[in-house]
Amino acid sequence: MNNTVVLGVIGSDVHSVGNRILEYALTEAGFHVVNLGVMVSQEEFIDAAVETNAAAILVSSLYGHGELDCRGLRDKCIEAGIDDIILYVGGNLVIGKTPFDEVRNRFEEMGFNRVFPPGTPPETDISFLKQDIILNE
Amino acid sequence: MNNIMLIDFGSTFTKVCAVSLEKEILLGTAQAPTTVKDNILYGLISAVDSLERVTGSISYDLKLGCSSAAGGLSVMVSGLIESLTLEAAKMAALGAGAKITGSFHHELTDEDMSVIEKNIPDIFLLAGGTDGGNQKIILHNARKLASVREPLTVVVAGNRVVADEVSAILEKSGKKVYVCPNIMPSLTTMNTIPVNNIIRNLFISQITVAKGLKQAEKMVDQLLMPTPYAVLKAGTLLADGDGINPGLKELMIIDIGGATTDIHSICDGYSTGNGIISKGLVNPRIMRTVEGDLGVRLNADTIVEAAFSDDHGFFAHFTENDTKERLNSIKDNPSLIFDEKSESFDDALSKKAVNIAVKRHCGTLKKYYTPEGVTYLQFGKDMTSLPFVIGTGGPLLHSRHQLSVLRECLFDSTAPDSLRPKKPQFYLDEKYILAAMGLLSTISPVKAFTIMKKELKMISQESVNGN
Ligand code: B12
Repeated sequence: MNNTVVLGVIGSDVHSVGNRILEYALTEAGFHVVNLGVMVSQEEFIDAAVETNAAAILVSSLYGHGELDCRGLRDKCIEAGIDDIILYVGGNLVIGKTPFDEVRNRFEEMGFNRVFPPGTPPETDISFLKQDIILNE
Repeated sequence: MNNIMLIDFGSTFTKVCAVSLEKEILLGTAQAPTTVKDNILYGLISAVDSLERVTGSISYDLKLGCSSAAGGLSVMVSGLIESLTLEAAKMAALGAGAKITGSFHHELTDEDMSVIEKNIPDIFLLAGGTDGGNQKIILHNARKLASVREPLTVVVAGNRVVADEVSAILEKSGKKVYVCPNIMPSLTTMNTIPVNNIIRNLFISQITVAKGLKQAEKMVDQLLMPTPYAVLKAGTLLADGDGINPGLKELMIIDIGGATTDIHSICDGYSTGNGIISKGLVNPRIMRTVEGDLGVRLNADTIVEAAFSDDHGFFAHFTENDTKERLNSIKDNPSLIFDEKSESFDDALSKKAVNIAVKRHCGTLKKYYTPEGVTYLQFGKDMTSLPFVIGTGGPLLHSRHQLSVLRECLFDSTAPDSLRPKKPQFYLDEKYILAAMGLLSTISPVKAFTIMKKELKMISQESVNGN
């Protein structure tokens, strides 16, 4: 299994705590984590994924602008030749009182393979990730 | 061992420098035009001649040389992503003292190939993919390079997983291949030293032969390195100290030339402000950038154009016709010696070259508005607190306004995003010995350090204002 994943917090978001926890949990679970930290642009995610031949990009957004920041990421991946890469997004994607199902739909339409609600424990994403990577290979 | 001769076969001048190790002094320096077309020794002999006319005859125990003659060391580089493996490959080549004659990213195209074939470099540095990362590109590019009909030397420094395969593809087509550890083993680490070393070794063992520099060995005991690398070595010694005496810690060398303007820096460049987030490739502590479009002779017209387009006023006291005339006379005769007025024209060229070259070398700070307020991202090295700047290169050393030329490297409060030095102390390599001292440092860092400390001249505003 290709165990390289790219991790980062998108846009102008500086919430770094969850990012560190995810890096730790994923590394413990045997992934090779390329952590880009906070304030990561779409281009940085893609460049890193291309150069490291990553299996997945895990995007965090905590500060409420996730929808704006994430729009177009899948299209750019296609443009960069990594059409099939697995895209996950999580954090505080809910803005105001929007029901999570609606939020999930929106992000799935943007091309994300999985969308995680606030407070998802890392074990959940890790088990999904392993399955998805194997299925994608 | 006492007297040592240090020789720099430069692109235009061959410079000799004699030192006494015992006395820890410079005995003298001299130069003569480089004669690479006939026999490189002619230029050396006449330089030694004019040296000994001043010093009297000297018997040397050792003669060491460096060279940037015959086009220097030309390297083409390719990587995958422009800002990642390509950038790392460029830094490694420049750090080895090379001149980059072509750079490519992603798949090499047929058009790229015709550029390469038209202008075969001394070395092709092939990178791409982190270890375990992308394999497709470097394999594709290896196949492309294998199709080059001319002999080609390739240094492979990409994804280690396919390094053997890449080297086999190239070897099968008769290319000389040298495999190095990956220049970018992971996205956050750069490993330029092995590439640096192999490029320099190739320069000494093969490239000097191909360039007719081998004849130098009749008079020189050892040709050790490309000239820019010698300068970088001198700078590193000055910064780090000789093991006994402490160095200057951090510094920048500005080397203004007829063909290029080189900036060397030895400093970490970590951010100095609070809450600044570093982005992009981490630049190496020992770093060289070369501006091939900012040679004050070969690119005088480009420099003038740049100066006019941003209204910098360097050429304000020259009329348009005057400027044109001077540019033409430079074109006709690149080794032109200037009269009073053209000298200040030359200073204007140097100033603009320094201004742009240092801006490109230093890091930048970009402002971002976030929901919480302003955040800053730093790209490259923050040199605002850099303590020392050393100036060298013919056009600068001949100028009578050296400080005002060098001051063009300074932080500018109207462009605060460019992280240039704010209050450095300026030094001048008055006798043009940096490359020689880089050579000397290979046998005695202590002596080289001592001589540099004696010979580099501190310049302050007062001593130059009078001019
Ligand atoms: C600490 C904090 C800050 C600190 C951040 C310091 C730092 N260096 O990280 C500071 C003070 C700077 C800050 C600023 C702001 N914050 Co704040 N902040 C918080 C706070 C209190 C805790 C965040 C945290 O660290 N959580 C702990 C970690 C472990 O959890 P996590 O980040 O959610 O990550 C976990 C999971 O979500 C998941 N996960 C995360 N990403 C992903 C991705 C994938 C793919 C997967 C599978 C899982 C996953 O795994 C992580 C590990 O378990 C939260 C409120 C809260 N209790 O959550 C608000 C909060 C995130 N902030 C908020 C806001 C609005 C802001 C500001 C805009 C201004 C403000 N009003 O404070 C600014 C924005 C600054 C910016 N440019 O980003 C809102 C966001 C609202 C929204 N999304 O709708 C929150 C929710 C508070 C609130 N209820 O209003 N903040």
